[in-house]
Amino acid sequence: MTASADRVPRKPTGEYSFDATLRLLDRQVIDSDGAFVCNVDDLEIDVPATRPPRVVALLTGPGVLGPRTGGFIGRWMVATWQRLSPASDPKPGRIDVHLIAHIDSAIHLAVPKNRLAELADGDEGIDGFEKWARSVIIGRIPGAGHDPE
Amino acid sequence: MKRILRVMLGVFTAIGGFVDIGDLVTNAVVGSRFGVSLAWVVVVGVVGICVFAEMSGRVAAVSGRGTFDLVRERLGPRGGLLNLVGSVAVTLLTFIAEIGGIALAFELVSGVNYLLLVPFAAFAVWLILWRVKFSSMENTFGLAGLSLLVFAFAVWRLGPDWGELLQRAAHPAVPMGEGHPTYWYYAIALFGAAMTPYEVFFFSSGGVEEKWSRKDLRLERMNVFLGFPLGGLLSLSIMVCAALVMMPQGIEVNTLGQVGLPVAMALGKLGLAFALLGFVAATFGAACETGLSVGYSVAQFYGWQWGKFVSPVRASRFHLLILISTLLAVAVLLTTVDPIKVTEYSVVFSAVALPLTYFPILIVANDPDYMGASVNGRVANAIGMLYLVILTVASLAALPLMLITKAGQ
Repeated sequence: MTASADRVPRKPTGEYSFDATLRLLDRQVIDSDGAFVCNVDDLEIDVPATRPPRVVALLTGPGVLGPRTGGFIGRWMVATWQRLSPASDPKPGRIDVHLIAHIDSAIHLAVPKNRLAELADGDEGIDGFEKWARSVIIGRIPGAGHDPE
Repeated sequence: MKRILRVMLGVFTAIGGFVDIGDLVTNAVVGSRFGVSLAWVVVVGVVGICVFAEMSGRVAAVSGRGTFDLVRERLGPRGGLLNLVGSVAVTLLTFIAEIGGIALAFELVSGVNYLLLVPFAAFAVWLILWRVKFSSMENTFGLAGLSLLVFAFAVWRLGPDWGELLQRAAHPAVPMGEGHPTYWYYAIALFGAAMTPYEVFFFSSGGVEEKWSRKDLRLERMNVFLGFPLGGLLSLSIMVCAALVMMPQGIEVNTLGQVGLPVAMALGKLGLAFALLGFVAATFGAACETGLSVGYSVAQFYGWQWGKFVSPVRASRFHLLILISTLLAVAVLLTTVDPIKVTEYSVVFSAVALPLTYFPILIVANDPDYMGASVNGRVANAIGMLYLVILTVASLAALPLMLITKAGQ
């Protein structure tokens, strides 16, 4: 929240309140090593009876992007994702808001991305396609592990 | 020398926009049919791309976000996807054409049929995108592409009546025997080439690849205000060469070989050698630019890791996209489709892509949450708004004009 700290009031409880649609949705998520993780495709919102609604997690993947895209293309995205996913009942990638370190033009996490699965109880919802592409094709081509020269 | 290399991103981007294989031929076609009566379009295009490339580069330097990142963020999943489909179609068609263009350029040098050279050209491009560092790529092809300046030298050696040339360029009139729809079709083709969306995707992502920060804003502006006008100058030189040599003889340009003829006439073999080197470098450069831009835009839409600043295993999906695009290019080209015709069809898709690309850039360049004190000034906003109107009109008119004129025939 560095860029907009002066305009986002901090509540006594330590929570922030701001326009989640504008500041969180469709933003780039970056891990603690500076690697790009995903885009925020949707938000998980907790609506307690007595308190105002609260964002509890960032969601990502075709499973949540599809419904937001809508129409035939949206349904097709979800169906393709369900068919191609190794799990029988795939769940969208989920990043708990407590893992967010700060927010500027992107959302910066406090952990590296290879720890995300472990922190989410072994959930492989993030990076499944990346891992598949790496192990099946890209990682097998000579020179894949070297930085460009 | 080091100073020159620091503006190579702008030069490299502009070469891919103004003198890629489609534009090399289109510029010469326009020169041979319309003289300098369409030169004003190039000037209008240069101003437009400068304003928007400067905004996109500034956003990249200040916030570290590439342009398609902003497109998704401001247009949401639906609008973003529509733009993604449109701009990837433009960029991919251009990429396919450029690989054909490299093969055509080598055909001029070696005499071997270009179809036999296509697989080698594609492999060479893929290898560069796989292995070569971003800065080495842009320096090599940027500098070698500058040998196209031989066209400007050729104009000077041909010794035109400068007064008359300026007079005609300043008071454009449709030449005898050409219809108004054809004139405007080529005007939009030239304008679209100058403002083609992959230039801002590439330029802004290139800024991220080069790790620009707020401190580099001066450098970013130098890249824009040297690079793009230089691209425009190359484009104009080719046009004027054709106007001086081909138009009086009534020769119509159809092939890449004919584009180099005026240089050969004015400067002999050595000049022609420079022109050929320029063709090879420009098509190679444009192939790298468009190939990477396909990867940049899709990866930024989905939030995947992208870029040549990490090893390929760390950006597997990005490299997988580039690999598939390259294989697709070979497959399409081996159907013996004319590579130069392929770029003409990309005009259709830029109708969708142009306004949907430049609108989010203008919005975010005004957002203090992204930009802090570096938000747009009044001049940039005024010109930006004006160009959004021009872009929308041009994109709406592109398809009807293409159909009426049978793509400029």
